[in-house]
Amino acid sequence: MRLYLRTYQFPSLLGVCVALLVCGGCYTLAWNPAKDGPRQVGATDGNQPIGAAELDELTRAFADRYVGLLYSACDALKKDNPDPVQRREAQVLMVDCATNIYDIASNADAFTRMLDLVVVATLVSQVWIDDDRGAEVFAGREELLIRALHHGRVEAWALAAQVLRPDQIDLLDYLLWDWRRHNPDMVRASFVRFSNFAIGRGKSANAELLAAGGFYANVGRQGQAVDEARLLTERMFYMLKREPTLLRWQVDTLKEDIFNALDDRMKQADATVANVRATVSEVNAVVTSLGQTSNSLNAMLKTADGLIARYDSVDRKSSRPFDIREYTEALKELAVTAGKMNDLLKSSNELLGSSEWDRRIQQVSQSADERMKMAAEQSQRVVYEAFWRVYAVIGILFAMFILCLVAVFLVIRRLRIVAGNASDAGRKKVSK
Amino acid sequence: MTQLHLMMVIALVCAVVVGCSSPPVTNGRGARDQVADKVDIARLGTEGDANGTRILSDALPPYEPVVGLTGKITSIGASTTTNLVAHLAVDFRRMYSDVTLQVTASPISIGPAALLEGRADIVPMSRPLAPEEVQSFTNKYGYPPTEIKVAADALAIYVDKKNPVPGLTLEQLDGIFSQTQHQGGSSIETWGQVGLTGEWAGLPITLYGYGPEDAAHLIFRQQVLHDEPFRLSLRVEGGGSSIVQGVAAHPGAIGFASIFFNCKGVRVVPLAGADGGFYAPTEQNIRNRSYPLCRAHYIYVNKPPRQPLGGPAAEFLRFLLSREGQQIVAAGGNIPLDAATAEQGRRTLAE
Repeated sequence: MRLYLRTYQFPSLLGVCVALLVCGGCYTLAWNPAKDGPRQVGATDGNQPIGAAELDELTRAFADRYVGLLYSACDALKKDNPDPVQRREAQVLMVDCATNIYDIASNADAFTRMLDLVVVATLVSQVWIDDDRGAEVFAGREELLIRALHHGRVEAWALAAQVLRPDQIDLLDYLLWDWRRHNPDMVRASFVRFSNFAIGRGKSANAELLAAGGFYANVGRQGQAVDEARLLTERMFYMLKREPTLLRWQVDTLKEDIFNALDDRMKQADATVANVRATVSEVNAVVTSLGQTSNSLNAMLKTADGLIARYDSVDRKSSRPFDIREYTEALKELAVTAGKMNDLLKSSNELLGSSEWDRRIQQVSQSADERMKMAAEQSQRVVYEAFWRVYAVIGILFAMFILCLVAVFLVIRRLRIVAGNASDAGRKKVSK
Repeated sequence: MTQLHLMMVIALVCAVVVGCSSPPVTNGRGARDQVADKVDIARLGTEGDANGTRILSDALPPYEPVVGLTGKITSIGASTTTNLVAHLAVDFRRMYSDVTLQVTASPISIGPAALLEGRADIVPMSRPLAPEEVQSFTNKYGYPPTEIKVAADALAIYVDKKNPVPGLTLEQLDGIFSQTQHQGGSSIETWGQVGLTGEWAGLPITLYGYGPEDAAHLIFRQQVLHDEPFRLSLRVEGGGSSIVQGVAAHPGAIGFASIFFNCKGVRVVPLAGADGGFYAPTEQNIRNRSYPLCRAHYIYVNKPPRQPLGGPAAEFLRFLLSREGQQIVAAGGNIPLDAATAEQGRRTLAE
């Protein structure tokens, strides 16, 4: 018996377990929460109701897909992008959207969650696609982002179509568009929630309609009926699982900011270095000019050196032998020249000392004075003549101008008289 | 002396120059009068062009509130026009705090049924009532429902903002959107077939539009496709903004939606009018119906012939057709009525 148990116990237990698993699995597959569960709250395209639990899963799955799409697009935008502004924009977009999408996905009410997801996916896509911010910021690299955001929006509305009626979808679409029209400067649209519309429109008919109509009320009530503790735990786990990723992205953003700040500092340092370089080049220029001066000085010194060298290099040994006759001739010539100089000086002194010299000097002075007076009078006359001519020209021009005006006036008056006569003649004809 | 001469010369030159620069006096009016005329004309021209809506609204009579109005208005109708009604309801409630205004958007077929059953006082519609809907009403009450136009609108054709297509004819649109090309044109599947060259020539055309439950779908189908079916490749979107964004996100796409949804990411294509000229869906071209795909927003009421409509519903409609009401219509991004159509609506209510 014990041998039997030893031989067959383990395989039997294993078989029972497998059978139980298979049966359980088949039952699980056969169970349709939408059909069998008590929480039938919405309608799909084919009018099949969906449950709150299903909407829970759908919204959270969408949140993950949306963040994944955005992560891929933003990562591609950052990769090998030399522009720090574009890198930062992509990073901030990714972190903002992911944080808000996960925040929405961990909301308690499935319907509010769905509406908020639609709001964020739509507004973010409107900012980056419809308002052309993608092209403005990423300048030619935006295609992937546009595709991702559009895809996300299409999915969000497909999700909404499973819960909302077509007219409600139309209304929500209008509400979002209207909000965007009135808030065109809101770039960080991922922070907007559906509740903003109701607040912004002062409990308008549209917001009331959307809050009260369709399947919304059912979903809300059903959501309240679900075990709050379980939902809270689920939300907590959902958020906790994604928190490290968010944290990592936040750190990446911080790193990006730090690098950008470093970049700025480096740019400032570069500017300083450029200034120093400019100064150095100026100094070099001064040094070069000093070099030129020193070169010329060198040249001068070299010339002097050359002279000295030439003087030194004179070959005294190779010169002629001393000849006394050459010196005797030179002394004779010098004596003759000195005599002539003495005679000249003597005659000059005599001239300056004589009365005749004074008289001549006085004559020259008088003559010069008279010539200068005459020249002044003549120049004065020339100036006067020039001014009178200018007066005459201006006067003639002015007279011609007045004559021209008078002529124009007379011609116009003449033409009016002619026109008046013609019209009088016309009237007379008509009266006849 | 020389300085005196110089000063005299300068004075003379100045006198001559000033004399020459003054224009001759004509018609007994000075230069200042002429400049003043120019300024006035320029200012008026600018006002007329930039704020045509304001000037048009000024042509409408102002709304005069009544005293002691009480009661309830129930509005059930198409969501697009209901949005417009909801905008006005906010201001109407401020004026008449004792009037209860219940506004409900519904699928477009629900409104006429609600009017027939007496569940709605006013029925906003983004298309005219179908003949069978009018017939059902007439069979029950012995007279047709009263139609009041409350705003103008147009279906715009959107393409990518870089798409260089200068304009399209309705026949070309039929060739693009229709399965059968009932207007006699050929099937158009690439942008090269409407005359684009270069990189656009081989680009396939992607179609965006509304689903069959929407009034815009019906109007486009009637006016462009002559009631023939759309191509199966038409990508149906739930709302106008989705259509426009679909076009903005796909370079080869084309779509139709209300001009209300125009944005920077797309370009609106001018369409050939009845005279063969191409017209963009501007306010002016929509009002004078040069643009071919015009439509209106309507409100239907149950009013027996030769009995003026009374009560809060009539007052709401009078407010809608007044200067203030049409200004709210314009502020909401819709196209207000011209003065004659608004006056006709007011007369219909009073007759």
